[in-house]
Amino acid sequence: MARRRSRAEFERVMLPHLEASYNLAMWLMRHPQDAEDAVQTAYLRAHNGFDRFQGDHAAAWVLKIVRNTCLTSLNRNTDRGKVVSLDAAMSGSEAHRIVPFLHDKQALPDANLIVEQERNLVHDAIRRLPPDYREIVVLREFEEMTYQQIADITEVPVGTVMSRLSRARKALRELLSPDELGGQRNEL
Amino acid sequence: MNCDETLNLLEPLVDGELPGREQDAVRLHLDGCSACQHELRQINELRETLRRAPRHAVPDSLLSNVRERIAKAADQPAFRPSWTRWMKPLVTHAAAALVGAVFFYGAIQMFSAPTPPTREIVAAHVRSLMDGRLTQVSSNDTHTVAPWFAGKIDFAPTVNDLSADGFPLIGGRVDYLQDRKVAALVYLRRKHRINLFILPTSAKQTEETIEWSHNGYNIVGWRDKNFTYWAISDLNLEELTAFSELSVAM
Repeated sequence: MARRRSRAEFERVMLPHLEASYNLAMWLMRHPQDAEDAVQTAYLRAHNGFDRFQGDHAAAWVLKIVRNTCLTSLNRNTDRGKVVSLDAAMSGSEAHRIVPFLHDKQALPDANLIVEQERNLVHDAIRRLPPDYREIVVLREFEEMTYQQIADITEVPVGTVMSRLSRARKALRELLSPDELGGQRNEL
Repeated sequence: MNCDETLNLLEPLVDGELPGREQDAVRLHLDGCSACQHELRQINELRETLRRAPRHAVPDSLLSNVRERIAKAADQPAFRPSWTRWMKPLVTHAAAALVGAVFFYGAIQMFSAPTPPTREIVAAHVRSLMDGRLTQVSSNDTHTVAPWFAGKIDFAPTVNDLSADGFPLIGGRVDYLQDRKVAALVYLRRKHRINLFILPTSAKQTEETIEWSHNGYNIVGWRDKNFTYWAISDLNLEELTAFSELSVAM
């Protein structure tokens, strides 16, 4: 029979995933204060719903809540007209969405929103991915989630995880190739 | 295995998602194919590049802020009415259920253990959706709806604005549950209407969110030190639970 789990147990199981949670939130929200707010709200929700945690994979469980909290917050801001939806910049079938996006410099997030100290070519490249590709790359490469866990967190089929991951990697290879980084290297 | 097949499996291979037999087949092909080896190197190089990238630095304040908010939420004691302890074995042991239910019902009557008036809640919900009786005050403004109850019932319910979380308020009314007038707030989630019944709590029961279904309606109940809350809707349980969590968090 389910016992009301204690706050201490919640902290023991879930707080170790605070860094992963904050990182995912940063990749989605793109602003430290928004990311922190989202993580705080997500952890409160996770705590309230902790009795529903089955005990199998705490990181995946809490990251799903973090992701949902971020998306809710982003949608709300979009409704208020504060943030232009990145998805709105794209149209057509999924296969064609990613390509024009990558070449649309206008679609880059406002440089002011990016923490300057963390400016990094790899970060820039990941930021240029559409959000539903970006989150899958982050979950796979940084959080080392399995395809199935990513599918659970992002609520898409495993096949979609695989195809998005593959397209995102091709795009990242293109963005991070010496040709693309051109200027700096040729001067050497 | 040819090149096309191999190329499709290189990423699952690198991600550790390829079953052993397919791994062998891919490796066999790779041994004799420099083009596919090249592709594999590219995939691995990208992975190395990504993994060298710095992580976002977690602000120092985050851990203490999270713990503080959880502590605040946990200070409200847990709500677990004794009937859930009875109910769960009843459901799992179907054979005993019938006999048990009779006894269980008797026990409730005798000891007046707290029990959710499921039929009453469903009936009140359905009634509210008929004949346009859903709201007596129609407004999405909490400052219009909350004062409206003054003088109509003998308590002042808290009216939360959850529109930012996708649960716009559409109004309220006075309803009748458990032999008394109660406040009913009406929220919307897409096309689904949610009735949130609020009634004063006198007993000092512990508090925990409980959820169940009846006739296709989902119901979530919780309690704070002043009130008992029942949220009911044909909305799925997950979103209704989110609604309750937002209400609790406010």
